[in-house]
Amino acid sequence: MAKKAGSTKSLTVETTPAFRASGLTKVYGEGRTAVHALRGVDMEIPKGEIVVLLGPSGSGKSTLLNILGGLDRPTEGTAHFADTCLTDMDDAALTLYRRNHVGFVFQFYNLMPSLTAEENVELVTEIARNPMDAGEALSLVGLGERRNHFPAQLSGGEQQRVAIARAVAKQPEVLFCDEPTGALDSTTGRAVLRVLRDVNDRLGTTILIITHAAATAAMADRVIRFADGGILEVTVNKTRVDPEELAW
Amino acid sequence: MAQKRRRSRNFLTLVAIALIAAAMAYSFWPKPALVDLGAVGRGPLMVTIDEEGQTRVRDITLVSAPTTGALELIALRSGDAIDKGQRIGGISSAVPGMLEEVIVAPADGQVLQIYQAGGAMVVAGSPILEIGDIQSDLEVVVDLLSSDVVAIEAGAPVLLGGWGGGTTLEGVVARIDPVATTRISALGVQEQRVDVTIDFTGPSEERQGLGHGFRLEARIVQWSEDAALLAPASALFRENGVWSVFRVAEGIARLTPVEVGHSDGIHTEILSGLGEGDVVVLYPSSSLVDGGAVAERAAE
Amino acid sequence: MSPLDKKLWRDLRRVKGQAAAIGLVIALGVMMQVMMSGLVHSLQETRAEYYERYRLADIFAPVLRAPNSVAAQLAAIEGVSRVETRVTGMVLINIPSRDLPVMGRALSLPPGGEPGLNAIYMSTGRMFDAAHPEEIVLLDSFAEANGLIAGDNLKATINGAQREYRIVGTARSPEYLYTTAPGELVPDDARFGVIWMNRDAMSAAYDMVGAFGEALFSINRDACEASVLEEIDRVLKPFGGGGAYGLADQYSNRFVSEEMSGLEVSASGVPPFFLAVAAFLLYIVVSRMVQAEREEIGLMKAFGYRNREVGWHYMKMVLVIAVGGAIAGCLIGIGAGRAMINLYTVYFKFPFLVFVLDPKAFVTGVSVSILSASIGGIFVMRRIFRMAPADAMRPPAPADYSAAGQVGAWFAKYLDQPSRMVLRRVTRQPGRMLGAVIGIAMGMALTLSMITIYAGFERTLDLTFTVVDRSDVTVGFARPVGEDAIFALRRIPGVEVVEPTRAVGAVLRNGRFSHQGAITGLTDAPELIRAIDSDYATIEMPENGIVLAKELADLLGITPGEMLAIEVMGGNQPVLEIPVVAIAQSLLGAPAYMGMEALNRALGEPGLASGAYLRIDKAHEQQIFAALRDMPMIAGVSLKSEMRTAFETMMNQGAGATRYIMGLVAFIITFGIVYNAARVAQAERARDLASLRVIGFHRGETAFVLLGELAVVTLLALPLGSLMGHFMSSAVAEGFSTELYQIPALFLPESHGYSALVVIAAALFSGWLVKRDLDRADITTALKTRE
Repeated sequence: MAKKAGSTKSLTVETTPAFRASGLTKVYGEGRTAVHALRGVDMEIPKGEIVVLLGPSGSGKSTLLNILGGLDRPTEGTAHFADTCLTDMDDAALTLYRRNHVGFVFQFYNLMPSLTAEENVELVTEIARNPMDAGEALSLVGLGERRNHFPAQLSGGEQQRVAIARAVAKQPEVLFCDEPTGALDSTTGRAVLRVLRDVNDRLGTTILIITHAAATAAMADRVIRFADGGILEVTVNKTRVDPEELAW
Repeated sequence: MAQKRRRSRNFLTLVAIALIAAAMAYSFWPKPALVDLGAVGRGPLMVTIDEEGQTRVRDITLVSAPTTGALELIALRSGDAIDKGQRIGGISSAVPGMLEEVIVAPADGQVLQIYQAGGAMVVAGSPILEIGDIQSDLEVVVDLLSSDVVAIEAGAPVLLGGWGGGTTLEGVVARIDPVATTRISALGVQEQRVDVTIDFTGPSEERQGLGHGFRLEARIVQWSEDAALLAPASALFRENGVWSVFRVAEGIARLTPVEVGHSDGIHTEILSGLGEGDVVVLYPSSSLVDGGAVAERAAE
Repeated sequence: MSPLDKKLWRDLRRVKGQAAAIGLVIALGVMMQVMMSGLVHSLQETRAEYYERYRLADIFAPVLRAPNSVAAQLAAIEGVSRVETRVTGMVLINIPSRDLPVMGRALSLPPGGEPGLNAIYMSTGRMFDAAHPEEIVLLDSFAEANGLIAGDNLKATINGAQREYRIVGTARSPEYLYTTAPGELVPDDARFGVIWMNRDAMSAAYDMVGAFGEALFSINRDACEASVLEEIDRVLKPFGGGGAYGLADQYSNRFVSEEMSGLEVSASGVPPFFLAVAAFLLYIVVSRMVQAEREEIGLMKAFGYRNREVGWHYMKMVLVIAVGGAIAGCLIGIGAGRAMINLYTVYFKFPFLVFVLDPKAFVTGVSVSILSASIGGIFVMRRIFRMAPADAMRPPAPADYSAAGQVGAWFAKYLDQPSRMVLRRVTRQPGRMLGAVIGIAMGMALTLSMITIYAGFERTLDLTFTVVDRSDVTVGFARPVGEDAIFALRRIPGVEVVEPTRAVGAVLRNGRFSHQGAITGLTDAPELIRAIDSDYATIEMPENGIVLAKELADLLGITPGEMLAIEVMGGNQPVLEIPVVAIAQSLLGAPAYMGMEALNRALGEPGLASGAYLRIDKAHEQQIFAALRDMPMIAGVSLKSEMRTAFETMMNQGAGATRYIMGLVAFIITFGIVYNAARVAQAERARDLASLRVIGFHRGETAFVLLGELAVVTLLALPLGSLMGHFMSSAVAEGFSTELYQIPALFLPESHGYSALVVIAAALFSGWLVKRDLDRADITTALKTRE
């Protein structure tokens, strides 16, 4: 569903939310040294939205992302992706889930240094069910001519864009980004966010972005604020700001 | 455009495994055991009873003093030829006036032993010398175990060697004593032994230099066969009490029971179980197994 | 504790697996050093003490028969401090449980009981009573091996007459730690006995009243043994002597010395290798760790820690592992040494044990481990010193693979991404990969050498008892006998072939090299006992010449064509100059062969045999043994099967037994190296591997990236290890050979197969361990770490 910049989201109700969490709790350790990363969180994320998760460190946003992404399991509670219950799945099933449905982008890019940009993307397209062509994914992020370069030869921003191409090439329903602009300067950061916005526009991928920078929230459809392991408030933006216009 | 899925890692893994498996197969492929081989063939076989023997002159004539008196010095020496009627020496009586008594050789032959050289007084009847015909009257005497003697009879051929002349002489068993005597063997045990007399069958020219009382090795033929089927005796061994060999065909050694006949220690007669031209393992070691691969030891 | 020290302990805990593996390798090296040298020292001390306590003679001088008065002349020889004479003789002992009588030696003891030299140690029972001439004392190892105890009766044939004796006690003697039947080379407790008897009774039995058969000497510390020996020979020659020898040539002592020098070789040769390997591994582990912690190091430097303080911190880790391993090795070495000492004490039949720790070994072991570890540590420190703090703290740029990408580009087209990752990683740092390959290859080479030794031992057995000696039974005569005795042997039913031999003792001399041994005269065209050449073909005995075993020829430094001087100790004791005609292949003993006729002619005793080799029909075995048993002229009968078993037993115990320990150790080293390589690779790739898991790669697929690298390194190491092992085997085989037997270095494909299997098994096991760890790793934490 293409949307024009600055337009409001229509209030059509999607049939199934992309994600649903119910009573999600995560505790590390036990007794007096126990850390409560999440305390009984309930939330819903509709399909096709850009959602920004804000909050100080240790507030639980990364933990929630990890659980929704199938990287971690909650101590209590359930999480659903569409109609599937994530918390019931075993390791192999979670791996498949990540393989076929989820793309990840991290603060430090996590590219394979021994593969070229194109090969890094092919890493994913080789195992995906319904992948995009690797070259196409790179073009999508504006790096079509740099396909044969190794990460050592790319700048930070370019590496992050390759990471996004890699995440997107498998045509996942969801894209998780944990501090995607944390290691980049503001101009490059905005460019990267632009790419994310493009992906959402063109492919309709649900995008979850964790960030420190509160200004980023302006580009989201929904903003969820975290504190102390729980959700402080959920704000729905009537309008989305273009990433290029963000200022932090 | 769907990406062609590549699974080279599976392929590479398989290749690596295949390489290793091949290398292992090569290293562990059973190598044939190295053995010495011999062949089964036809040939003569003799089973002999071997014993040391001595020559002796059959008829030894003892010349004694006919009377008491002074015997003149005898010019003869041991080994001298002597003819019948030849003068040996004279004895002059102590009684004055009596004529000298002359002693003559009673037979042809050689002087074997001189007991009394002369130049001294002799008593009537005392031995002076022995005469025997080495050339034509020489025989061999051997003493055999009484149990061995039962297996031979007069007329059995004999091979005589080790007499110093380098050749092997022929003889026959002439007589076997009916009585055994107790003797101590060279190894110190008591045995019952029987004397066996052997005649030379060849001309005396063959055995020039052979004298009386000389040692030789007699091999009395107990049994012989001209064209027996023979296997090298070192190939035979007892397997659970049964004589067997390892027969080799196409590089595989097969445990083969055989029936054996006579043996001379070097070759053994095969009555059944092997055929002419069969190849057998010599001195098989205890590690050889039936059906194992074998190869001939490198022999340059 | 300072924070850095706390960090040290936590880091050590983190790499506990690798640290343990390296520490183990060090411990093993030090353990071997301590254990072996402790063993050698203890054995040497024990032996010296035992010899001294029981006054073992320095010189032995056998004669045929010399009147007692000659002893005074012997005592007057310069350098001699004490003389003791005794009556000796061969005896044939009937053991009820054995078919064949057993050879033995009878020795006299003075009627009082305590001899001046060569005293005995009573193990059970009591000394014999002079009033009872039928009482005897038996060698306790022989008694034990044959189930005899004090109080039993013993039937023995002495000088042709069979008598019955009563065993009143069993004893040990330093003279007979090892006993071997005359003519045989391998000790066997059961088949050679020693009897001590009252001298008066013995003189009567052996017709030696007023005479002696052997003189024993102890010499002054500063005396020259060679000149004393010469003098003794001169005095005793008229009495059939002339063959005096020193303790070094006494069979039992020589054997013990051989075993001990074998242990010494192990002690000095093996540990350095271990320690070198350990140093190498330690270097790799710590250098990788330093690389991983560049940020922390940069931080410390930024805070003002001096270079050497930071370097010392990492050095401490190296030292902790090295010293920890060394101490563990020392402790284990002491424990193992004690255990082995007990084994060896029983093996050598020492009646007591002097356990001596060699402090030098501890010092050497610990200091060499520290030294070798430190060398590795110094290289690491250099890298630390060179790090600039700011650079260190910056997140590292991704490693540059652009150069590596070109390598094998044509090949890479056909590979999937994980395979390409493996390929590029291997080619990017060829130096590092080569180091791992060489390390693994060395482990394999060591394993291969040990396996080759096992095959070599089998070959020695096979050659000696299936190729050279093809008889069933060997017979020795009480005195040299003539042909009639050979004929008599042939007449025994069941005896198929009899091959007589004539053996004499002789001193072989080539210039300044000499060797005291025996010459064996063989018949023409021998079948049962042969001299064989390197192609396993029979060497014809020359008309006039001698054939030497290769070992002997090397010892004498002589080659075919040259003349050898021989001083024969028998017959009319001629001194001969004989050309060496050929070299024979032999792995047991160092035999010399001549034609029997030629030897007898030289001795002036034509036609005599001292022994014979027999091939028999097994079905008649019992009757043949019964017949042989009753023959007084037969002094001894040996079954080849028993000789073979004795040899095998000897090779499996004693110094030969260390081959099993060393084989195990080789496997441990190999495993240690492979495991370390895997762990180090895992640590470096942790983040990349976690990323793959995030992307959605299954555990197995992820493991491929890591294990693929390990597999490539292992596969490359296999052929290299084969090659290195090929050369190492020769050296190791040489080390295991003794004067008594030689172990050939064989080159068999299956040895290579086994050693490759060891490496592959180690790689598979290490891979499994690493994968297990990978599977359990928490993905999220791995992602967050930056290197």
